[in-house]
Amino acid sequence: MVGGDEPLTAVTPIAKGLAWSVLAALAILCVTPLVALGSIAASSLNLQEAVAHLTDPVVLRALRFTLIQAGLSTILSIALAIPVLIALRQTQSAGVTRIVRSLFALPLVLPQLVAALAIVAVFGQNGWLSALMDQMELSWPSIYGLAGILLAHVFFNLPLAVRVFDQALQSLPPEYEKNAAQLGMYGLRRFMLIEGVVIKDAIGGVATLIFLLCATSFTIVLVLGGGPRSTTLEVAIYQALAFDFDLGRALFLIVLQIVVAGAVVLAFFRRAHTDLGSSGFSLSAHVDTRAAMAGVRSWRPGAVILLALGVLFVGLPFAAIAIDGVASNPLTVWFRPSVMSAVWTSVVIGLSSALLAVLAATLLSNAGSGRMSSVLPMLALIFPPIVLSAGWFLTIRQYADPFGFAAMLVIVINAAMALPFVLRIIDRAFATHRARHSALEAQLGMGGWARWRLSLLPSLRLPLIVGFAFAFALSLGDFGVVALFGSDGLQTLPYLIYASFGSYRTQDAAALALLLSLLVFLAIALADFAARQDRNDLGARS
Amino acid sequence: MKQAHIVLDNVRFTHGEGGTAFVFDAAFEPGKITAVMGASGGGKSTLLNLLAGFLRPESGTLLVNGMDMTKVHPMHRPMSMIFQDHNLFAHLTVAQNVGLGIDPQLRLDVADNLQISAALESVGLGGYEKRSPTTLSGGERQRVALARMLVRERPILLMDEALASLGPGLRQSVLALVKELQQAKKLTVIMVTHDPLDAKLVADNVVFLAEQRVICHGSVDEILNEPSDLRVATYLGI
Repeated sequence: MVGGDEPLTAVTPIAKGLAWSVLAALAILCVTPLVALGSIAASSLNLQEAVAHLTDPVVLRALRFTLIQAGLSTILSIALAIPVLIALRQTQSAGVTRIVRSLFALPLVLPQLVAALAIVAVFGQNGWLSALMDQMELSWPSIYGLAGILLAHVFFNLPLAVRVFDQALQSLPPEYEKNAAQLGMYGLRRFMLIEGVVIKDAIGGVATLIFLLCATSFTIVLVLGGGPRSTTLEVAIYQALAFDFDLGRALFLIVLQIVVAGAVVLAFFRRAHTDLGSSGFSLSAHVDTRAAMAGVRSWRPGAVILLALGVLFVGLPFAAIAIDGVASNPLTVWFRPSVMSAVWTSVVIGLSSALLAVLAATLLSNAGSGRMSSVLPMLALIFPPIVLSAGWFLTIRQYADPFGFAAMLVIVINAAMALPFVLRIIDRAFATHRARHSALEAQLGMGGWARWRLSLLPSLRLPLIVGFAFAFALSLGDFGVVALFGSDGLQTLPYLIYASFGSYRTQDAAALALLLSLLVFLAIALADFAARQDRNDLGARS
Repeated sequence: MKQAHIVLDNVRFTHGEGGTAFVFDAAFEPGKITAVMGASGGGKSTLLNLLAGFLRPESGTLLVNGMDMTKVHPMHRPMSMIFQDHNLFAHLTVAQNVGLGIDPQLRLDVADNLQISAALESVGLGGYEKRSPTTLSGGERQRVALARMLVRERPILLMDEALASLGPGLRQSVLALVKELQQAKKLTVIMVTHDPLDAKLVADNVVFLAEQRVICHGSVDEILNEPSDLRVATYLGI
């Protein structure tokens, strides 16, 4: 070995082969439906029809609405995140900081379907705020359409932006804080001169990420869109397949979706050097470097109000899930046979896809393919679940009944969607492990199974557990794939919730939403507990 | 500038909960350089952070020329502090970094810019105005911090291991500059250092910390050449 950057523990051919097969499987998953769709298009559609789709008002309206709502969601999320962030940075109390950071991590794992229902419960026409307004004899508009979509997207992405910015600001040396205090820098000008620079660097990456998340958001738009006027490309694909069965239009929309998302990724991710999702997707709280300044900073009343508003906006939907869920007589709903069997189906699918995602991430990381961890999230945003499932649905349909493959496809696509996040968690652990132990492993000649058993697995146990829990939670709450493949034969918990909500059985939907949230947060809490145990063990040993 | 007389009277501070309290009683001679020495954990940095106001004491009084500074905000204290690293904002130019010492909102006029250039000249960095701190060596960065100290015109300079990351040659030249500026402006300098050589080179007095308090205080000769306290002798290896 010549290069200084070469890992000391050589990557074995087996490890390389396994990593390549994971990549090949991913490529097959993404490309096959495209090829198959292309051949359907070539054989069944003529050029005239394709051109007709270009001017199809349904398609054009969907494209325009997709871009407008994603753009507005991005602007609102970031514009509101920055004041909340400033207020958060002014907080003196470590307790308040910790609570806000934990609360802002929660939307990350909250199923979109549950969030959509919660937004309706808080902001809807029969919701909490409208009840408040009624008492003041003010009218409350319907939130279905653009307003509801924006509310839900800001609910998810404001906390995400705050977390990413907050993490970026942690990179500022603690001396800056002291220098600024000594020099008497304060207020907005101080923020522009110090924090503003970091935020300016991070804003491009964050905005692109939020734009793509909103442009490809499916469940929220399906539930809160409420009509053809507010339909995005994703939902239009679903409608073309599920209701109109217009294959040509579905195909055209899928290609359009990939082109639009791909163009955004190419245009912005090249320039934005922000490490996409480095913090937004990690669940662990980070260390506060500002402890040294305790007692010197002053907390202004404006900051208290801003932070309280941010906490209310993010916290109220969670309160709605809990309160409406408990009020809906949940136990009678939960123990219905149909619900029990949906829970079972969801858990089995969740466990399988989490296992698959963790396995794939481990094989990739082990071969040192860590660079994939920055590429994969973009692929996941270009090929969102609805595109993959629609593509495979149309592909399989040519040869067999797609519903027969439903469970398998849901598992595989959910695993692929979780992979970028899981890979990031696991790959970082691998990198740390390599930096610390690869010299020692090489010197002792530890290889093969002995290296896994004695060196790798003990230090990877924690990230594997956290990654597994995260993948499990994502899959449990997924509705994008199930929306298309769900049927009487395959009912997951989100599928049941959507069915209840769609048929105005609001009580049932609230009870089921509470159940799904409890399952998701139970998984995350267990992983968190394991993480804490692990850290305590380490503390006791050293 | 009026020479500053600094007194710490029973200043008590505890890091975190359940830690042992630091208790400082000390006086620093005006217009002199005092080296603060002692083993790690002895409280050297804590002492400087208390002086600068980055930490608030639980009890006790800090007096500068008889004025109670205990509750005064860092920016209103008559001192400038230089850290081991990150004294400069990496995204601002050298001139802007110095200019923050004149106006923290960075609204600078022609006269201010002339003053900045003069300050840079006097630390040996004439013509460095437009440079970015990231292109400077460690020694040059500390010189820029000294230039900012000059334009702030505060009578006290606190240095928290400000030279610890420099090699011996650079260290000596920056120390010589500190001594030169101190003499010219009659500054009271308090510098934390690990190295007895630093102290012998420029300091007049030494304050020695151990067990979270000041255990002895005297001229460089008394403390470093003929230490009467066994703990100091052990630390110095003599």
